[in-house]
Amino acid sequence: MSDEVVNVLAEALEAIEKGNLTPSECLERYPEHRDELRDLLYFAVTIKGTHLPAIDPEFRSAARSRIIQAVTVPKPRTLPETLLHIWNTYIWVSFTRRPVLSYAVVVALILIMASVGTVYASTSALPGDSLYSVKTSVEDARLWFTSDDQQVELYLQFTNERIREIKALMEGGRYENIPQAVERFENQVKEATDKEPEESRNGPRLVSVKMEAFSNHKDALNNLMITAPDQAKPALAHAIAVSDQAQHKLSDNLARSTPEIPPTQTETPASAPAALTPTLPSAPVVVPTQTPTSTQTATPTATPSRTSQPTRTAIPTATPSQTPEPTNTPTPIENPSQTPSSTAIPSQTPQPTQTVTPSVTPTVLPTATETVTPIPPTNTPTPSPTSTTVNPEACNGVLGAITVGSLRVPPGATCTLDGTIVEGNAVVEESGALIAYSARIDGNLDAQKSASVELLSGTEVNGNIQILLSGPVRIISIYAGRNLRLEGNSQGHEISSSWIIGNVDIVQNTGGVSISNNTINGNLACTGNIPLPTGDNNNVGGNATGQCALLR
Amino acid sequence: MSSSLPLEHSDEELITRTQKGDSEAYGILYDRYVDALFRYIYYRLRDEQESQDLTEETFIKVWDTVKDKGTGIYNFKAWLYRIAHNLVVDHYRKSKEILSLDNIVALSDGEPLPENILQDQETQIQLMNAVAQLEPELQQLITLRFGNGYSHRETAEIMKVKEGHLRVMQHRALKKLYKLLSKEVEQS
Repeated sequence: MSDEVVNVLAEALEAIEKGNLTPSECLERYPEHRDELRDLLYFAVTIKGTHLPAIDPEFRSAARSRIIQAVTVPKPRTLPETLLHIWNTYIWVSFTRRPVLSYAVVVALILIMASVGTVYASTSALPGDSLYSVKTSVEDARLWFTSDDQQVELYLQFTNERIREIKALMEGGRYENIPQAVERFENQVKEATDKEPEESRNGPRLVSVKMEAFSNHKDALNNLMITAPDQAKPALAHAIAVSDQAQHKLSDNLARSTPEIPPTQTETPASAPAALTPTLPSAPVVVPTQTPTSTQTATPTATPSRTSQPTRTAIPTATPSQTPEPTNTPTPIENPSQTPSSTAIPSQTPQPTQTVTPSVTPTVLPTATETVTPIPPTNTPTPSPTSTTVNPEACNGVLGAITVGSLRVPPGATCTLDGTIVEGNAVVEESGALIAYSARIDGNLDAQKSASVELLSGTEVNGNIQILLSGPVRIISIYAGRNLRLEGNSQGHEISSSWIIGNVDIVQNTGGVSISNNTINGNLACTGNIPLPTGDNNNVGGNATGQCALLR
Repeated sequence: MSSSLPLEHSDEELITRTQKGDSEAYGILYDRYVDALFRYIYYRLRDEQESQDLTEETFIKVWDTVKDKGTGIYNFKAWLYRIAHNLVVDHYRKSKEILSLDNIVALSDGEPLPENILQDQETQIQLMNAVAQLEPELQQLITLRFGNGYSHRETAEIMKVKEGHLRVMQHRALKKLYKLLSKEVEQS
């Protein structure tokens, strides 16, 4: 295919569409391309005439009414309107009866009401409202005046308020303000979790109170997630993960300090994503229990370092080892509801019975030191699996709502994660392809020379995401807990409607990169991409530089 | 259904009016785009009921996305098709059905079709099935260009790609589609 033929085809179609030329006149005009053009031109003209039905008039009209109703928002009374109402109803009446005294009283009342009214109005303020800072200041002030003993309960009260705010933002369609509420929620959950050592005299009671609160939060968030639009899913998924981690931490602390007191609630991680995929058949949580009897230490392979970047150590690649007959071999769960011949989700291939069980140490990718990170990630960089062994799950096919230790997409394989939880790292090998819907990867995601990577619909990656020298990349409506790096990839890429806590680096990609509607807490830096990255409406907490300077 | 607003108000003006409380302005936007949007979605889903539902959902989702953006809406049409595309892709993820003669709408309504239209219903099904086998971006391109009749420039704006890149994708899409259909015709 030459560029010339591409352009000639496009120009010929335009001329035909405008009625300037007929197909045969176009072919006469470009005799050197006649053979290549003829079939395609006539074909395009033919399919252009495909008859399509019109929308049913009754449905059209009924939908119009529903849509107009949906966009009609009743105006809430503002604070000035509220104060005016109070003035007219109560103050002005008494003022007209005793004018002299009333002046002094009224002035004093106005001053008091203004401050009380401001504080009062702020109690219902939501993230993004002008009075929200008053609300958070009031909360901080209350903590200041509260003893340590009672601070835990106050923090839990505040976390309940965060959930209420998230719910109100969802109902109001203010999805872009949800990350702010989730960020404060995360901080307050952490304070509530860490405060008051469990071995104190109030320990057991408070642990029980905390567990119940975190469990209620998780239930409320899971309910919101069911009807959440894609734009809200990353933030909600992160809030659910925060509650989850708090519960685990409490359980772990309890097991270490007061072993005679059982935790009030345990929940397997797989239950959270299962709520996100109601159409899937319920799949049992696969918990590989075998321990490898012979393992080899992973040997790191060096990656080429660039002068502008710090030297990186590649994710160690695992050397497979043979194991004896496994008693419980994790295999991709086949989804019987899918059509076997579909191309979007590849067909299942049976897994071999031998299990590849190398031992792999997850490695955290260092961040680029030349860029500023205004909000550094606070999470522990290397998550440790809690209930599963670290077995890289070799994936070729569809994995449903199950939990695996780590994930490997072998060369040439296509792996689809649908609600899957990967407790460690995920690696996509050469020519492998990964598609993730509402999945969670607690470690890093690393793809090198892969065919394609698609992270979609509420997928959460808590570690770094690094995609190098690969094919098309689509990152839509996800949560990324650390940094995102796309380098040297080809054929066109998209990053949209996502929340990225760390930095985003887009370097030397070809085919076009579209970056839109994202919240990026760190920096957005783009260099050497051909063509220039496009997009808009990105909320960047740090600096937007290079080719992406104007993509805010 | 009537509105005092003349139709020559731009999309951005209508959005602004809706943000200020004039919901009928959004009704005008709906009237302006609903037919083309339905055709776009139907071309890809090939199911009338699903296409109607997704059309309605698209308008509501677009409102949810744009309502708080102040005056920053520069291309409502692009937003509309972008969200429709994402909904179609999500729909494909949940259910992949191969269209059969039994579950399609009668496309011709009994009227004789002009010669340049694919008259044979089975061929139309084959075309739509072939389109469904393309990558999502190519499906979108074929639907916008040849289903909705948008120009190269309009299609590039909606898909947020450069026009040069769009021409390359168009060539690739037509070649692939032609190959797929030729194979289907041979097999049948």
